[in-house]
Amino acid sequence: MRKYFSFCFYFLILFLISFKSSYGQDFTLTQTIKWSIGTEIQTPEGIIKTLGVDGAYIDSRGHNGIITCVGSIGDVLKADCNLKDQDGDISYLDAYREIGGADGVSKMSGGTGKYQNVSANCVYQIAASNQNVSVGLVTMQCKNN
Amino acid sequence: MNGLIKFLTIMIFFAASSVLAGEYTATNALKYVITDGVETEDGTLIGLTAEGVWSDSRGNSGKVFCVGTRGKTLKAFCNSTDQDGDVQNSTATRVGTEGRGVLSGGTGKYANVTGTCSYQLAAFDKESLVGLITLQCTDNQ
Repeated sequence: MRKYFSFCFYFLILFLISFKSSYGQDFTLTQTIKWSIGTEIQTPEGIIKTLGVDGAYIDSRGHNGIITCVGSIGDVLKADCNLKDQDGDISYLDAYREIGGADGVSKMSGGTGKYQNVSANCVYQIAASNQNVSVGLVTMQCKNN
Repeated sequence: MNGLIKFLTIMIFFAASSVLAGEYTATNALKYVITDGVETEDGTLIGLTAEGVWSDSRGNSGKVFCVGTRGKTLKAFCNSTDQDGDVQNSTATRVGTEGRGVLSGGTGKYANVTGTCSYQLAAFDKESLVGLITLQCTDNQ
């Protein structure tokens, strides 16, 4: 009986470790983005302009695909994004960054297919950008919730 | 005695490797512009330019500009300008998503740098013609 409980105990530990590695794991994304800035309007917080972003991404979970964002840019950047992976599944993502500030923050909140119940908190950096062609390299580090 | 010689040979090999060759990784974010094509005996050949940014595992980053052609094989010449304004010259040859790059000198700190890279088109958006390139390089630094 004691051996049986020992076996169950070790099995439980192994299960918890494998569960954590599957669902509690940090992951990273690298994105190539091309942005376009459109119409501007006046608001009490100042001038804001419309923002569109298209690009491609890979992540450390083995996914890759395309990214599309719509948002606004003034003193802060706010955007909502779709990450569509190689299987056609979409992850919903938002982004917030103070212009001229340090890291931006981002949140993944569900989506379709395999991302339906996936949420994560992320920080991101503009690793390099070329204003002449409106192209940037974005690195992002995420922690699953 | 033989054991000592083998040990010394291995140590010298590792020391020489670390002195003569440096390995690093890089990531390029590129926007492509494709020109009209011409017919050749090997099929249609189109012109392309790629412009964007890069960042590497040595802490360097900057802008990159490439001109080339794409038929059955993609061939391009690139200038990568880093944060100090130094320019590295390279060529790229790619079939499918797997490519090979050759580093061939440049200006400033890259003047005498030569090496090779393997690279992959890791992700690509056909609508916006934006691609993400991952590179694994070895040079003489």
